[in-house]
Amino acid sequence: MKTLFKLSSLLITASLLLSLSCKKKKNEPAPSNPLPPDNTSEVITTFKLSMTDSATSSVYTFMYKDPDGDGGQAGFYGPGTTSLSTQSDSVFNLSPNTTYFTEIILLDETKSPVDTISGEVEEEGQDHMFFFNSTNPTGSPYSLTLSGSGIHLTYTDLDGGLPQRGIGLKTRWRTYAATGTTKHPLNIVLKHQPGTKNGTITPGDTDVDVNFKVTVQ
Amino acid sequence: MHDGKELDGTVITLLEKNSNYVTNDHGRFSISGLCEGNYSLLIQHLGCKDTIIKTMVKQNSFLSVKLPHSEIELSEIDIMDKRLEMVKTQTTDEISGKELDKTRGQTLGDALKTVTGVTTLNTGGTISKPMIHGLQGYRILILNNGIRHEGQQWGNEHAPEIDPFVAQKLSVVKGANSVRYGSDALGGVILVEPADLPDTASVTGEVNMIGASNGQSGTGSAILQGYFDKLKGFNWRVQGTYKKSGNVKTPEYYLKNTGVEEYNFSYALGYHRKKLGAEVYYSQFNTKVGIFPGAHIGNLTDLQNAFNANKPQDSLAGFSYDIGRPYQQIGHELAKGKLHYHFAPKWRLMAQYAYQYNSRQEFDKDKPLNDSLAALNLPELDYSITSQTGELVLEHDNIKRFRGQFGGSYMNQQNVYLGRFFIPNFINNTWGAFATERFVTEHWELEAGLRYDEKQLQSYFYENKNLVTPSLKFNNVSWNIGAIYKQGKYLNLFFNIGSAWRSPAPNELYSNGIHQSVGAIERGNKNLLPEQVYNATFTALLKLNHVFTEATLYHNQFTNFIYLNPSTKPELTIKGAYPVFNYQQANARISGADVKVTTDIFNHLKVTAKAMLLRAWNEDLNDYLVYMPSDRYTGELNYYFNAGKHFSNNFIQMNYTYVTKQWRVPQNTDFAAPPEGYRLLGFEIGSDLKFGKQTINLSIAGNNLLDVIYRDYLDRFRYYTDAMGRNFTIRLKIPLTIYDKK
Repeated sequence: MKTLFKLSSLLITASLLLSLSCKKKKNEPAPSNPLPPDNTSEVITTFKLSMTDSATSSVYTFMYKDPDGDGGQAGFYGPGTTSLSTQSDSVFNLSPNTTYFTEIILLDETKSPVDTISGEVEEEGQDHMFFFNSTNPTGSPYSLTLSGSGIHLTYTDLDGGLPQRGIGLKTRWRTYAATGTTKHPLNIVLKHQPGTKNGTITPGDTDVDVNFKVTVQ
Repeated sequence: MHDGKELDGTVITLLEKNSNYVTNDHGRFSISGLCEGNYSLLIQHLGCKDTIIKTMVKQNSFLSVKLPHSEIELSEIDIMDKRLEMVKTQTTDEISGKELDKTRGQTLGDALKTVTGVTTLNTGGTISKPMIHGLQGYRILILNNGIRHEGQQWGNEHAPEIDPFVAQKLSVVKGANSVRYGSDALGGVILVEPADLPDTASVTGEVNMIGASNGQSGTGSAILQGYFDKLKGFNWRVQGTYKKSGNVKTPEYYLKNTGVEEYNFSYALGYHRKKLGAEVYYSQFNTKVGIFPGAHIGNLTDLQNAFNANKPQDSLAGFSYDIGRPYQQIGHELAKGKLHYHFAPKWRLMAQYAYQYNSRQEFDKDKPLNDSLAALNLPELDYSITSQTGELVLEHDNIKRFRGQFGGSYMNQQNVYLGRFFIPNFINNTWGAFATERFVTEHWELEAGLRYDEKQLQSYFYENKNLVTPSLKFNNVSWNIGAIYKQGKYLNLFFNIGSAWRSPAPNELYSNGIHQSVGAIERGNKNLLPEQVYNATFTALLKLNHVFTEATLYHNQFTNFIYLNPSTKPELTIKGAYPVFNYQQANARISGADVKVTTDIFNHLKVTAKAMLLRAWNEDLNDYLVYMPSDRYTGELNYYFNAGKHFSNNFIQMNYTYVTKQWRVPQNTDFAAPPEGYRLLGFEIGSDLKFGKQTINLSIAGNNLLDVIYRDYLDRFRYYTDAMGRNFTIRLKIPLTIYDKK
């Protein structure tokens, strides 16, 4: 009896102590009810290049889309309104001697409503910059020439920093002579450079890295 | 020994004269022809800790010496109120006493590294996972105070969530050992064992304080335990640890955001009478570990840039204790209740229940771009795993030379993710039953064990936006046969063969996505079969004159060894190209040798040499296995000396480690070629200071004394940064006796 009393007092003390220390997350669901994919953290699913012909005001859209984010199913090059014909084809065509006002749009389409991430990139412009074919732009405003296609590209947006640098969400593309059927690689990279942005591609991490091909004819 | 037996075959060395004596059958010895004065005796016995005794000799003196037992435990079994601890036929190494003191302040993984055959898989200087004979993660079991430690073992950067200060002894059982502890222990078992609760009226304790120069870290740990004088049978213990460290420094630069903050506590309450014992135990482990941002990589281009850079991007930062993104926030709690009852002479029943809750939150380098999401500052990876284990064991001591254990165990486990998907939610139910018997004679101990386990794994996750709930069932048998041969005084042999298995883990079956901390896409394989190993281990302990040799040879033959196979083509994502690894199975083998030779032929001087050799081969691909430890050699000099009555057990130790380059790697599977081998020099000076009745153990140690710039093959940070530079550690241990009726 005495032993029983002692044992039970031991158990009571122990359970009192235990109740003080156990801690579980409040929002923890049951294992059979996993968090649906659209509830998980942010993911960039869609990269859109929206190009407006300055003369005709026609808009052309080229995109790369990975609906379920990294991993899972592979992404694809999406239907454009011009010669980006098949879904696996990354080639698009620009007319010679033409100016295009170009905008990059980044979306998280796992969310409902769709989250426009490029808006956030613009807000944090001092920490972000787009690079084209890994070429560091020069001059003021920032500009560069894509070798091969000869396209001259000017950054038309500015971050709020000192000195003010381009972000690259908005650019002006000027094509020159036609280059025939040659497919020129076009690599577009978004670098996240918090506190280290200096106008070059070297610092920071890659947020976006997509590859198209351009013909000018 | 601890049971007071008279020890024959004990070697006594009179250090001043370098002369030897051996005890007779009654454990007696005598030395004649000495002058009066102070002498030091080194006392060595197989299975006991080497002990140095200082004595004053005047005419005829008598001396009785009690030896503490140690790593090679060959002792008889003390059955009264203790669990029936059988000497394992597998190779077992222990770290306790002074050796354990020397590891204080280190992580559990690093502390275990002193055992030959144990290496660590590191993520920088602060995260280390123990590896036994090249196997880690799910393939080794960690028993924390008798309970299977269950967390998220699958991640290479998920270190065991255990405070090493709870242990008074760390043991490593090398080789497959599933029969007693359940499936999965293909590589071995690590036992983290607290001291027994006190059984005489007393209140005692211990305070440990450790400071280290690299990382400017401070660790404090205290333990207090007692036995109630008035409440017969009740005993208790409370323990707590706090640790804070800042940025780690390589020889050339600081690594930003590599601090750690950790606080842990545990308590135990026990009731122990002759026939009945009960114990409750609770422990909590909390840590926040900063991850070096330069190692939190993006796509292949970023990786190449990081690898080609002389200095990592985030290396310029000075010293700081601040921990920002990326970091891990981990909590682990364990609550345990245990009962045992001697219901008949020589028979004992033990029942045990444990509850474990493990929370792992990993915060990426960058907050989400979306402001409202960023404001929540949620972890990108967030897992909670709850495990409940129950065990019932029946034990019997010598009955016609037979000793045995029979039992069953059950585990229920529930895993839930709250952040990005990488491994699914699951409910895992496992039960097993086992029996082992041992036949003991004067020279031989023979052992055989058999176990059956069944496991059901029910998973829940989304695939193409549809909820899928695959259920898998696995069952298999584990067994072992072992023998110990004791050839009198100078030779002991241990043989063991056995088989163990484990079912594929949820990450191996279902992971699908970027493993952020690895910077690769990992794809599970739903069709994986259980992995099985056949293991053979042979150990010889040999004592010849002054040379003590411990040699282990082992061979592991795997069928369906699960590994990550690199895909030849990287996968394109919106963030660029990522390397892809797919889970696959192959027949494989791992074999090797651990050798340790200790000699004390010189006065006051002990020389130790250790070697660890390992070979691992994928038999299906006819290629090496990736991420296996390279051969390594360690040399140690210990010099013991006298320094007056206030200083006892004085020692100076120099150690030298040579880790060879791992060139035995599969081709085209790694981001970068293995780094060169390296050599490290270290030292330690220690003494027991006496102030009146109070003793204080003080030691100062130095690691990587020459500030060598190196990278280790088994460190995931090797792609990005050099390893830690020179480090000095000062350790203070203050044993406390607040009250002792003895």
